[in-house]
Amino acid sequence: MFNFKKVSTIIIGAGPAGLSFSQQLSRLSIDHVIFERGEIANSWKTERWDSLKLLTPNYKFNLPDFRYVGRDPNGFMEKDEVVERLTRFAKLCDAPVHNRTSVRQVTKVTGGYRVVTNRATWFCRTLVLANGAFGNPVTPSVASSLPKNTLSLHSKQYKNPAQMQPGKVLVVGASASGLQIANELVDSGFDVTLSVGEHVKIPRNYRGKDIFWWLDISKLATEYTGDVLDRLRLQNLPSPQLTGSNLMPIFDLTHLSKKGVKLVGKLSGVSNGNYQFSGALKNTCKLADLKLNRLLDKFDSLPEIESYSDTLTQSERFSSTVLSETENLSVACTDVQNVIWATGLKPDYSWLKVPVLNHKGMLNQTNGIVSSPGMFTLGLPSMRTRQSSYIHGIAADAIRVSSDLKQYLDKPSASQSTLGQKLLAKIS
Amino acid sequence: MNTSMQTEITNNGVNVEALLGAREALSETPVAAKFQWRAESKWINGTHSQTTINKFFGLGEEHNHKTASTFDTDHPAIFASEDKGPTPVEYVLVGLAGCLSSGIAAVAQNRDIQLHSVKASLEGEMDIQGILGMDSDIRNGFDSIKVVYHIEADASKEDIEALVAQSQKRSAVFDALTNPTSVHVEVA
Repeated sequence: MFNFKKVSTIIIGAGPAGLSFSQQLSRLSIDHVIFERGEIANSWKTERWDSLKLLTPNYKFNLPDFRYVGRDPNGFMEKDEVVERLTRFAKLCDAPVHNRTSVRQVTKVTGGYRVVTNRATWFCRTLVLANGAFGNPVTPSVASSLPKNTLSLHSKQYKNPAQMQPGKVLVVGASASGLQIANELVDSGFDVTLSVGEHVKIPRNYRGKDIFWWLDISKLATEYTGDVLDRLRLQNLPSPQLTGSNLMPIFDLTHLSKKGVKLVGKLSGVSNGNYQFSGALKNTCKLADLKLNRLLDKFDSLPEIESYSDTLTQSERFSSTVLSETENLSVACTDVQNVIWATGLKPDYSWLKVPVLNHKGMLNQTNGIVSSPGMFTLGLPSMRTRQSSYIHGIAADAIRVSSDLKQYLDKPSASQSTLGQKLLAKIS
Repeated sequence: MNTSMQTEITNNGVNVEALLGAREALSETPVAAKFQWRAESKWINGTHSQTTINKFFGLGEEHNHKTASTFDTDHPAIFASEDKGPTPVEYVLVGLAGCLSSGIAAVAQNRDIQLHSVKASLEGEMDIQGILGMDSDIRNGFDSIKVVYHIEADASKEDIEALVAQSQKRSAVFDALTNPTSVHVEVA
């Protein structure tokens, strides 16, 4: 009956969020453990394609009390270096990581949570969900109605072009993953069609500065995403079309179409043996161009950039996405041998048996405080600021949410106080 | 709130506060957002039919329009028809224009842009070899639709372009035309 272990706080996930949170808890002398289903930085080790580089420049790779020191501050590190740095960070802060410990079930019990893992059952007063925003692949329902001999891979399973069957490739999704994978495949000689829905077109480099420099100086990155409607809109935004490379100032649809990638609208279904694409591609691209230009107007008019005027190059506008006059609205399924779903990821909460999810399966939380007492989270898109789901955004959120957690622990919990009162009553 | 907000400087006659309020209310009870639009149609003679619009369902209950509307559909004389009304495909253009323009007004209101005039010309290209069954490679419906907006408003050209783009993004008819819809036609 008492066959369980007890700890004040359990953190689920040993990625940047979980490790940063652990570092903060150690500073606050709060006893805790981290459960990691694989090893530290597991998804970086096992669920990324081979050529992936971080989208943020190296100088932004800052975790709490762990700043980037290296020879290439403006470069983009490969995923192995991300794993190496996270492992080093975990060692440095002596993070109590339990590797190969996967959480099977979390339930609410009096005064805290019961956490069942493949190794043991634990009890904690506070629980931190740092399992990441990108655990489960999202694929549209049409993915299940493809011809049997079509290779169908989610971007999470994509490693390199050698996985492809001979023939043509349809990449579905035009955010960072979709563009990068389409680019790598067309460079490897594949005939690639890219299905483009709503997207965020953004330059890598503008007026000689990296986009993250602009997001910082404009305070867009760190601005508190207070307004609820605004936050919802931000959380639903697709990830920006970026790639970890300084080779060109903008990595966009035009770049791919010049290489021969065929652009089609959002995949809307499979009918009569054809992939059908939305006829709204022109508007989708127009919206992205207009939004980009509004952003660049905003950057150009920042008073903060005056002191940098000698290091900034001339203001410019990137060319609008060029599309062919006649839109291709359908492609025969038999003409496509490979489909890559770069259609996004969402958190995996299948083990979470506490009613804290909304009808879309997303966590009910505000600023990392989940709707169930004593439950916290970290690393979700636009959770507090636009950079909440980026590695460099974790530190500020970890500091804030861990102090909320400490406050919660310092408050005598209802169960404890009644127990205390009973004891007092007995004594007196 | 509906009338007191009319003192705002920008007034395109759209109650944006009510729309935003509805969005907030519906986010708590998404089931109330399920609407059903209906039409009752009767064949008259030849290619002439009459369709009446009156009832619809939404916010969990039945509704009636203020007045019922009846629409005649027919084909022009060059199709050896009596031309008692527009062709059905022309009604599709009516729907698209109405939807996009109302969207433009709503988005403009929300972005504090005063509109003075919004005019649109619509052209739908169609090769009737499709409907005549002459060439199976040619589709029955529109090959493409072109909409040209002429808008006078207190805003820059870029802001007006953004209005038009955003209204397409939120348009039901634009979506119905640009994306496939499952359609079931049966005999009762």
